[in-house]
Amino acid sequence: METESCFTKIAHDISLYFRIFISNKMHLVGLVIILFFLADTAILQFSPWLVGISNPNTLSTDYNFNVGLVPPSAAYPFGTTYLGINLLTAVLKAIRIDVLYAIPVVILAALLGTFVGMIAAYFGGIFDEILMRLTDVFFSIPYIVLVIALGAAISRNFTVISLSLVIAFFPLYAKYARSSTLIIKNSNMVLSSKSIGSSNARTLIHHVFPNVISSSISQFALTFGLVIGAFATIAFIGLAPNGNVPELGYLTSFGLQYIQIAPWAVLIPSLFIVLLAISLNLIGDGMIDMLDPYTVSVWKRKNY
Amino acid sequence: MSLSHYIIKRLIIAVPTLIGITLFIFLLYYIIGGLHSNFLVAYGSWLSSLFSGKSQIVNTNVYKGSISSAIALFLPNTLMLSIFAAVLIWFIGTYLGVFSARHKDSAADLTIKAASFYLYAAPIFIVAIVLIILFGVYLKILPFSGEINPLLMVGIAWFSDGISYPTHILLIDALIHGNFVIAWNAFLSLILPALSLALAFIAGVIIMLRNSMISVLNQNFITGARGKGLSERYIVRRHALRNAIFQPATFFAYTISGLLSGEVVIETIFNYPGMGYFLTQSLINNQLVAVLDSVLIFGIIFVSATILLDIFYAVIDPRVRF
Repeated sequence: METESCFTKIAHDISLYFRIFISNKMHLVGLVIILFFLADTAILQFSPWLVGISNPNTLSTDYNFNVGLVPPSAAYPFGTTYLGINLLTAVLKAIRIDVLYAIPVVILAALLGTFVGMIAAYFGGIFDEILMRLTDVFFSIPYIVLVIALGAAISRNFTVISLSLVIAFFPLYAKYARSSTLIIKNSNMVLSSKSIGSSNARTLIHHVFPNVISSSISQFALTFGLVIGAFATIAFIGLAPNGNVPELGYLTSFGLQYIQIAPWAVLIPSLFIVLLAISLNLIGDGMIDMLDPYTVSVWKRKNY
Repeated sequence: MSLSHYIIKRLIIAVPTLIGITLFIFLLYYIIGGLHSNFLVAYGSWLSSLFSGKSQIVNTNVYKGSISSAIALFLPNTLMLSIFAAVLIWFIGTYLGVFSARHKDSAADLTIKAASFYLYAAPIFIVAIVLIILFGVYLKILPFSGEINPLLMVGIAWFSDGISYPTHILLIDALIHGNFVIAWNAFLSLILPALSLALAFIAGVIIMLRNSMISVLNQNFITGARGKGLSERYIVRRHALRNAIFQPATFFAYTISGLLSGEVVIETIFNYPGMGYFLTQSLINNQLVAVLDSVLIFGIIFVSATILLDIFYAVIDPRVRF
């Protein structure tokens, strides 16, 4: 043990966490599926010509009025939808749009929520009351209703939709951060930091924040799935800002009128939304297992 | 502290949230309207106009008239759909959750577990699409438009005069007037929207109840009850379920927000004449005042539903001490 360097220890820990994660094979399935989605996002972001796509941001360039509705075939592996759009390329484009809009929403919601919950619990008193009542206000308005309200008041574009989703999802993280800060606040670590004269800001940044954020990391994948679902839902019920953005929910709504003659036009985009949501839920489950201190201690005892 | 004190305390806690919601909505008005008077003065006069019931006219494809009568028309339908969905969630969820826990690791349990996981993860509109394709398009056994066939309503006197249509819920009004054909059709067109709304939450209740039920069934007092020779059915109902139910009950309270979001989505997909449908129609027709008033209604529904559930848990859970 004495010869073990700090790096081998970290490598050992990472391999332990990974083994806990893949102890349920379904978690691994979720991870592999998500890696495909991320690879698609990266390819379309940096070199879309690799898959023969020249304009990953628009849908109208895919209109092909001579084709009509074609079932899945060799030329069109996923078939075509309304206006002769090739579903394969449309779905590849839409995955990137959904993933790229959802990631900043999750990160901002987690950071904002953690910040609000942390300082509310740390300073306490009337400050805590005001911040948490404010959080309750946004928690009380269902996310679709919030998106509609802000869209109506400000403007219906993707930035406003993303910001509304940040506002809708931060209360969850604020509640987590508040409860874990209340525990850490009176720990020896924080008390000794204060006793050597650290400022509140220093204590919060160096001691409270890393502990609080690590306890809500397990929620990231689950929120990611919810946000992707929210984007698809908003576009599906006709609140998309414009008709030219390839988005999975919007593609689903395209085929809806032809559900009786061309079910694939609805089922294929929906299948990809479901795949994204389910694999993110699987990863979320795996992360909860992996970061659960009890599971980790059981595995450590098994291995040492 | 008695129960009535608890109720009063709970109502007082809700007041700042309600004030916060009205402030937020008024802030949006302020942004749209570009009102030039002092913010607080304008807020005060807006609030008093809300209480006095003065309301503006809304003009959409589905409704023309004052916003307050629109709310009177659409809100009861939303409540009807929510209550129907809540009943489905509670009964199907607890039944299948208990069944799954009692037959742990059987084929039926594994099927229920996998199905719940997928239903819980998938967005609600996809569940609705699959149900529409299955029951509406292929099997053709259930209607998938929330409004009843207009041909049925021709010549029905109480439907058009507006006075003998007291609740605005077609199902209940048809029952009051003894018109069972219309009531039956109204009931049929309620099934798919309610089921699509309920399935994801049924899945959530099953997952929660299965886990807590399995851990309760392994506890000593259950073994003791078995040792006394009580029937398994009695043990599950009277001993285990009463201890296992609180975790899913709390989950249920946390999902009200999700349920209301789902309500907007489902009403829009099925053209069901509720508040969510009114909200999206107002947005599409650029009726901003109607949009913000509906947002206020949704906030009020959420706050009142949480208060009611909290009081309900205080009554049923002996561990809650006020």
